[in-house]
Amino acid sequence: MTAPIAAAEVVRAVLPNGLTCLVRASPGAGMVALHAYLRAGGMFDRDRPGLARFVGAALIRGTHRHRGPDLAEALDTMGASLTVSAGTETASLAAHGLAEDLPRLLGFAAEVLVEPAFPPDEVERVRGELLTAIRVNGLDTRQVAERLFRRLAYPADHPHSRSPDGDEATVAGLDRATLEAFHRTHYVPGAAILAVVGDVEPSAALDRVAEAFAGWQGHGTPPPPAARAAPPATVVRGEASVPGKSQSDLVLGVPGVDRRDPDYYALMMANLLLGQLGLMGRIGQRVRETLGMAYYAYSDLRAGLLAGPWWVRAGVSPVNVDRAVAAILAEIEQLQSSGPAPDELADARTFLTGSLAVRLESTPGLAQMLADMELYALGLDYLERYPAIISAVSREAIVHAARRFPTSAYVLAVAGPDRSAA
Amino acid sequence: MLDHHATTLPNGLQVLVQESHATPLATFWLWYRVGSRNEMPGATGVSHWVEHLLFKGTQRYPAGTMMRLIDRLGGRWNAFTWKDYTAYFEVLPAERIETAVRLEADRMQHTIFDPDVVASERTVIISEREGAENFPSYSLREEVDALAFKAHPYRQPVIGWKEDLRAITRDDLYRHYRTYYHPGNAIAVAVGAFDTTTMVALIETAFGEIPPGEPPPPVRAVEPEQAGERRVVLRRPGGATAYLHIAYHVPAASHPDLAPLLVLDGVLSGFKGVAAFDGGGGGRSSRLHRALVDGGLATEASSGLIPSADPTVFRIVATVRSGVEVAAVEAAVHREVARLQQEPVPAAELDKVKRQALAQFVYLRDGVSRRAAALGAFAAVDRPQTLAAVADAIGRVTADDLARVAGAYLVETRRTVGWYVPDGAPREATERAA
Repeated sequence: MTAPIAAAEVVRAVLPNGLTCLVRASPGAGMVALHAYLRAGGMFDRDRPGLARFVGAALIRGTHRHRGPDLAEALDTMGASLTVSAGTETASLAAHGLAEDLPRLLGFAAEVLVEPAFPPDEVERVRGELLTAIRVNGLDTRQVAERLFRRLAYPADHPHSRSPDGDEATVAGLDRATLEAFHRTHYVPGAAILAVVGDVEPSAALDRVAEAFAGWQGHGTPPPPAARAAPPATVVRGEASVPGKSQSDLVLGVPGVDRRDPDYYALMMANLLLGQLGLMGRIGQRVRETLGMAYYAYSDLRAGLLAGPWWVRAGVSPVNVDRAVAAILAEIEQLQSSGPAPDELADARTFLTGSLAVRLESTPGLAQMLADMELYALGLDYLERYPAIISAVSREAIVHAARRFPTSAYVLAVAGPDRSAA
Repeated sequence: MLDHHATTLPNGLQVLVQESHATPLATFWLWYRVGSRNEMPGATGVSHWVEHLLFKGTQRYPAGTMMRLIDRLGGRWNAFTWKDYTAYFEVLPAERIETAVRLEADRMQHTIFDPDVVASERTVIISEREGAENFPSYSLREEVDALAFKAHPYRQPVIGWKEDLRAITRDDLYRHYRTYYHPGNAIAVAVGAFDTTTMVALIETAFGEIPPGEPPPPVRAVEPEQAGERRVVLRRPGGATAYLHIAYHVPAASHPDLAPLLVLDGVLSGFKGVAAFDGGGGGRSSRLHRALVDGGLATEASSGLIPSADPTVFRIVATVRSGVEVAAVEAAVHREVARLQQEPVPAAELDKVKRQALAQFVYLRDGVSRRAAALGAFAAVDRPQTLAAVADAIGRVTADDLARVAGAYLVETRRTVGWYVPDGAPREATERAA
């Protein structure tokens, strides 16, 4: 089957200001999608947790050309959607609209990224929304367990040691000048990627991008912080009790690898077998299907620019936490000792290569994939090479990768009803 | 764009097929007209539980191998249960779609209801329910639905009441399956890169021999007209901020007021996609966003109407901004609703919402799944043609229509107002070393 994106279909250009742009046509879609990455994630927050997210959220609230409400009105009138959000490693802009509106959509994307005004009244509104979200997440058991895990699994100066939400005290105190300074430093074309996919003619679309972003100047970004995380030496447990809850959510894991790690594909496949393939892999099979203990029990490998967590997450009745943990550890040990069965490995391979088209069904999905290919330097022929990459991962490599999730040294974080009295 | 080929097999299976070669994919959906609407008190949640059991295997596709088969072929699959329907779907490279059609035909008839599997799934579903209970906004919705409907089963949560989940037996589940899972109560929808004639023949081959089954018992309950406003205040710990949830009684999908109500929803919070459970568009310029979020009262505000088989509710929900009184948010909602009743929506604003609707119908064409979801959902609650008819009718909605439906439906005597107010318990999680 042909790859959903082939190198020959992609037009890639670096504009004079350094912006890397990728365009791919999907004739007949009627729509167009943009996906941009900026080196402006929470990893650059340093001692001001929540700063990157605040800046990302404030960008669409007004530019030097349009007030926030006017921007919203214009986008809604096009039936378009444009959002900016900052995660741990990057900030991203995602937009889609009718194909005929591409020039205007690009114009608004450029305004938002290049000329945000941070109007004082809008900044206060955003602050209120962020503070409410921080408080809501502070009582959301999944979020509480995740934050606790991050704090226990990563050293305090590691970007993955905290959530990009930030904390109440910092977000309450950030002033407009700080937001503007962060924007000036991190929203620069030389460190930005823009992918365009849709019902467009690539060279014309590239011209539109060049016009829209011509005024964007600035180069370089500060180097990312040192991000070394030693694996835990022993089992580290933490527990948070949250009032008024029925279920406990748990996160069990270790620091993983980054996307350029030579073992990435082996870990990705070990993770697929462990907690994703079919109904949440081997862990889902045991914890949900055999033991009936959880609605969700899966694993996830967050490999990006940095080594994010490799974790197992499950929601279980408070009385079943210990049994669920034992079952999860048993499945990890099983994969480490016996490795994947031949048919299981064959299934995993055909799933990964065969499902590319299905996983990239939508135009916004393709735009994000194209931007990812640039962000992680995968090459424009990545999806064409993908089947060969996957078939080259050996059974032994997967077993070796699984052993990077030691069952005698991991972090376990649990949040839910108070279990201390149980 | 919304054209499709429709046929009905002699055994009653409704077949809807749309050929589309934009991507090399195909999707197959099987919809059953059964959901919490068809459940009796004491056995709520039985439809959703049956959905889970349909993944537990048949003789031909034993437990654990069924969905692995779809994975191996590079597919995506899932299922969901709603008040009016239960739907199963697969998305596959087009040349492999036959496997999905055969699998769905097989599990329509031959799902094994093993007592041990039923027992183990009981705790999975209770876990699913308890996970939802962790969110106060979920519990508030349950309270509002139970109060808004006093006779109609739309009052029941799709997942079921917890005591019912503890009591339902294997035989209850099997009886429910036998009653509702047959061709006469189902709709097959296929969208994708195939030849229509070949696809129809494939569906005929897979489903044609299945006996028609008895027509399921009709849902007789009719919700009596509401006589006055209903209110519920849910107070419990576990939430960091207050939530507002208002539900107004509105007609079923078959009613001609569906189109103006969908446009009204667009004026309030942006026009949403029409596929089942599709997300919204932008909506930051909408009236609720302006009044509540820009107004500093709420951090999120939205409205919504899911086209339904029976008269249902139009919802307005808001997450109250920390430190704001929920009463102030409610008052602002009432002001916005009153404005819709008293002042005609300006032409530019109406055009904006129609343009959003037009764009959503274009986005519906992206890929194959969303089209199948939209077509199937309308077929399940009314007729498949309603999807295209609603798209047309939206273009004809006038400002007078909006004022009329706002005045007819979004009124005090048709509304149930729910507040969630965090209890005075600690606002933070307490950590301890374990």
